[in-house]
Amino acid sequence: MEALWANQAVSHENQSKELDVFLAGVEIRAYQMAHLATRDTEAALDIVQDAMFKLVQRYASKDPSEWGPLFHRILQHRIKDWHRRTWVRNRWRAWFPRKNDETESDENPIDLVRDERIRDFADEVAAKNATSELERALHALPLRQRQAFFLRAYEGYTVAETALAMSCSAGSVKTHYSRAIRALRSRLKDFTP
Amino acid sequence: MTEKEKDRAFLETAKYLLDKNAEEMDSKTRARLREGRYRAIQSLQSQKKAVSWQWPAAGMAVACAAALAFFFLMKDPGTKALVSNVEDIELLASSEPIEFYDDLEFYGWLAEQEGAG
Repeated sequence: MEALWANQAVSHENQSKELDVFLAGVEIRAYQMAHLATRDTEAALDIVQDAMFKLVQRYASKDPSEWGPLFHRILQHRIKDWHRRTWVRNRWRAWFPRKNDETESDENPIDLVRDERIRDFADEVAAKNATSELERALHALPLRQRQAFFLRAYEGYTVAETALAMSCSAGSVKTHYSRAIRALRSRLKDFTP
Repeated sequence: MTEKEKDRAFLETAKYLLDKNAEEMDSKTRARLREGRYRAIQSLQSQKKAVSWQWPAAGMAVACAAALAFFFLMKDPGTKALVSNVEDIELLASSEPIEFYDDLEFYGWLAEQEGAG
């Protein structure tokens, strides 16, 4: 009995280690994906952490080769949820503006113009950076296309794995992916020789 | 250059930039991601601990329930109670005086003696 318990403890420890290695390998790219989708550091960190928790609590016992697509499936669901919640929140704010929003609109319009100029200038500086250009182009993609691009091109998943992660058919993955490449290439002409 | 080759060149550039961006991620964000990962792994360990206590506890509960059920079934108070209840009803419903039942043993012995004689 004791030997059985000891074996169980060892297998739990190994599983924890394997999970740790797996999550350490995907967490940064997962954050990049979430951040590109949300453009919000806190939201992106929350999304990645939620995905980690759910994978660990629900799918730890699955074969480690399945963790990747499962993790990304959870991650994509979380990103979609975030978009849905943000959309609802924005609609709500549009109907019932908060007091803060009203006070903001009371600010001097000249100040706002000045802020926009600063923002434009910052954008111009950032535009010189190829990474920022790529980020903007990726952010401009529809959600499904961005998912297909990240999973296929960045994570290196097969069509079948991507389909599992995106909860759609292999045909849809191919369509989203080819559209994503076409859109990105037309926007980032300097990226191709 | 064919379209396929252009696609490949584009993907390589994009991947290179994304990798570079990941490498340059600030230490604060990295630390928070690491912290989130540790918490997730910890949640697995606490979940396992809870489960490892739940199974023996559930086993003990089932064993206790089985032992109690066995004890009460073996004792079988139901049949005896039922028999004594039937005797009581006969006694109450009878028109004989209650003293008759007190001497019932004696009458039985008397009948045996008469039969033998």
